[in-house]
Amino acid sequence: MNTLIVVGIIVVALVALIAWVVGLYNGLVVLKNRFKNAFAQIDVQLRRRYDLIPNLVETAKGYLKHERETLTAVIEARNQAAGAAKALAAAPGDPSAVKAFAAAESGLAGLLSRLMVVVERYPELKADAQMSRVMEELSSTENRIAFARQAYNDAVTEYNTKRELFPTSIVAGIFNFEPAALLESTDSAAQREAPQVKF
Amino acid sequence: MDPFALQDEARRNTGRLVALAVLAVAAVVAAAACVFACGAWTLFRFLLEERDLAFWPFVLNPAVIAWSLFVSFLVVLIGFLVKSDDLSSPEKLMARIGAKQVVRSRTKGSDAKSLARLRLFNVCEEMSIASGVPMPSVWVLEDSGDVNAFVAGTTCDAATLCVTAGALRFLERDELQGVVAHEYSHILNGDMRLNFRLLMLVAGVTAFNRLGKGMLGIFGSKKEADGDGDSGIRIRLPRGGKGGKGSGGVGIIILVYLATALLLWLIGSIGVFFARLAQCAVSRQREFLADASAAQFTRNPEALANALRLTYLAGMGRRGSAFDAWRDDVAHMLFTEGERTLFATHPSVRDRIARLSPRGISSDEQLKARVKRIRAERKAASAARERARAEDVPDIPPQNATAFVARERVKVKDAPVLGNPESRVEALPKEFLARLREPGGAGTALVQLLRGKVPEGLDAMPSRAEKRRIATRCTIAIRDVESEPARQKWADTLTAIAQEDGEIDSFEFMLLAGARRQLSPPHEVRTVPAARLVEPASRVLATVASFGSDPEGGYRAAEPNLSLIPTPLPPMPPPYDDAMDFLDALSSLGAMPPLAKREFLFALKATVAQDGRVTDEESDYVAAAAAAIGALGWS
Repeated sequence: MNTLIVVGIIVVALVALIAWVVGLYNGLVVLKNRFKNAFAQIDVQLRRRYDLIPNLVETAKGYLKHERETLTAVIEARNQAAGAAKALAAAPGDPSAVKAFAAAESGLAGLLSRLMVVVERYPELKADAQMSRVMEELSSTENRIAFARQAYNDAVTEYNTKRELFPTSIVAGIFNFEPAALLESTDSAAQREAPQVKF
Repeated sequence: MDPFALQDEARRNTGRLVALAVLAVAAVVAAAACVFACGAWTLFRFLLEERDLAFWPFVLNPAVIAWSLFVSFLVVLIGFLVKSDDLSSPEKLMARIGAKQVVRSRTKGSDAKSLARLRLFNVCEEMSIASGVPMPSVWVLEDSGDVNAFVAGTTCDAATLCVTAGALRFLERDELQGVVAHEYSHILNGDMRLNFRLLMLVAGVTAFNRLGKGMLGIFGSKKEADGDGDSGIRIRLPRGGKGGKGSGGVGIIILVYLATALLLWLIGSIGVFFARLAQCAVSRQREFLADASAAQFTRNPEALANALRLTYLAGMGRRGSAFDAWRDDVAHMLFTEGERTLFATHPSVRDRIARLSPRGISSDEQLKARVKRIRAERKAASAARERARAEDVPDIPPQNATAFVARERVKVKDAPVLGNPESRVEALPKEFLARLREPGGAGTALVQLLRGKVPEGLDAMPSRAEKRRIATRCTIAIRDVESEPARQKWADTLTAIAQEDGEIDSFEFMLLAGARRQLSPPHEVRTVPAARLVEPASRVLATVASFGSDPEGGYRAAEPNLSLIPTPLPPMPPPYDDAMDFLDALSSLGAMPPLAKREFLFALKATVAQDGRVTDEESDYVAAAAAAIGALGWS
């Protein structure tokens, strides 16, 4: 009788322990998926920018007859960045791909801000309705990229904190939850130089 | 500033205040339960004649405590249920205050309005990314020049966000972003739900107040009705098993009843006061929290501070602004609210800015200039609204108008007796009017009218006077609904259709006159002294007179009405024979000062009425003149 009670208590305690560990584990998975999703958002927004650039160049072309090289350079940089992004997607985490991507992105951002300076010099282009729309979309995209990075970093911080706190740290150790890396400001230099679109 | 520390502080304060509010309600419930228990004791003791009933053992009896608490909770519950009914659907709320939903597919136009909508939509999507809140449905309150915004809906997934048109107009992109981020924080922090619950608490406490008042009210009204309080009460009150025998029974019942009612009312009032106080204090804390969260999302507290400075300096959001019509419905959800009292739902703008920006309320030159511009623009807008209201005076049927002129002003020999069959103009069907407000709706209706068809939405061919009225409405609707290129296109289409058969009849002419005035791009018209316009004015009069039976007489009949246009008029000039020349002449008269326009229209009516009858053609030309010179109110 007594042993039965002891066994019963042990079983209940075990079940409770397992439920507790499952809870911690699931919590970590949720956080991990959240930051992964946040990373995917950055990708979506970068793509959005690539899609916008041809539109921008097309609209500006009519007005910027004397700035042909700038426009061609922007298109080239855009294609290069899109290619680098594709290569990075094929081999995620590959240091050389990351480096190439970061370089292409910063080149594109630099050219875009140069283009914006040029646009400033053409009042009739700035007044063009289509151009206003493209500029609005572009500045929104720049914001989205920044916010997506910010959201990613916030999510990663939350995940890392949770991962390191006791007792979750034990579960994380057993099930091999790796720490996630923040997007450092060094490789977001491209974003910090992002064109300042003003109206 | 550190947004995270500010958020923590606001959250802590909220917790304390909510606990206070709950305590206040609990105290009210307990107090009310005491009142019920004491009432029951008195009834038992005196009515059931259990004279030996001791107070404390009775009141502290678990059954009595349970019952009185149950009754108390029942009252609170009824209060909850009544209140929850009017806080139901956010869509209904939006419809009630007249907001319009923004959807991405509707932001494709190339005009400034579509661009502003696109910007708002983009800003919202950005904030969804930054805050992780799903995209709410986005609405714009079109006719508000204030800068404000609010959210409604009690869950994160089904929230609605409404921004005033003034915010779209006057705020820079990053400021709009700050405002939207603030509203997103309300969604994320569950402020609507919290506020909803607090409102329910207040409603529950209010129920005691109402109950007490209601009990007193029955008493009062009965007394009044019967003229004798006792007889009225005696009929209403039930008699206990042994009750009614004692001669003092009725008096005691009345006393107990009155005391209970008074006490309930008093407890309710005190409870409502404290519950409201706590609710408003919580609301203010949530505003601080939302500001801090907004700063976290945008990482740009200065932009939010600027938006606040702008609304503060331009005097928006205060009582007495355009907001009042619907603000009570949404006061607790607004971005700013100009009050600063114990019961304000928002902290003062100064305090909010002080937490966001070290610079405080002090603004730079640029902001001051913007505030000045906004003030001027709002003033102009309200003046324009006034004017529009004046222009929107329904087109008075011509015979009435002429009769009016005949009574008041016309100095013709025999005031014409007008037996025109088209007497009163009926109100237009609602579906038809709704159709006019859709893009393309008004233009289509005009084309149908020009082609002699019954416009869609109307049952039968309208009378001539109605046709004129509809034409005027439609042109104004096109002006208000369509973008500028579309307006121009409609003007061209209408002109082409009117000229299809090679000639322009009087109705077509009237329609074109209105279209030209309303649909051409706005340009500055320099007012010219009326005396300089004698030549076109007299020729217009001559042309209209030539449609009557006595041209020369009609022409001269105008003279007694003129004073700003010098009389006597020159010898009657030849009438225009080209409709477009006539139209140009009419349009050129639009440069007259307003009073001259008025007298010119009256003169024109006298010309038309001179031969004793007003034909449809003549009415059309008068209406055309009114439309072309922009004096619809006087036509």
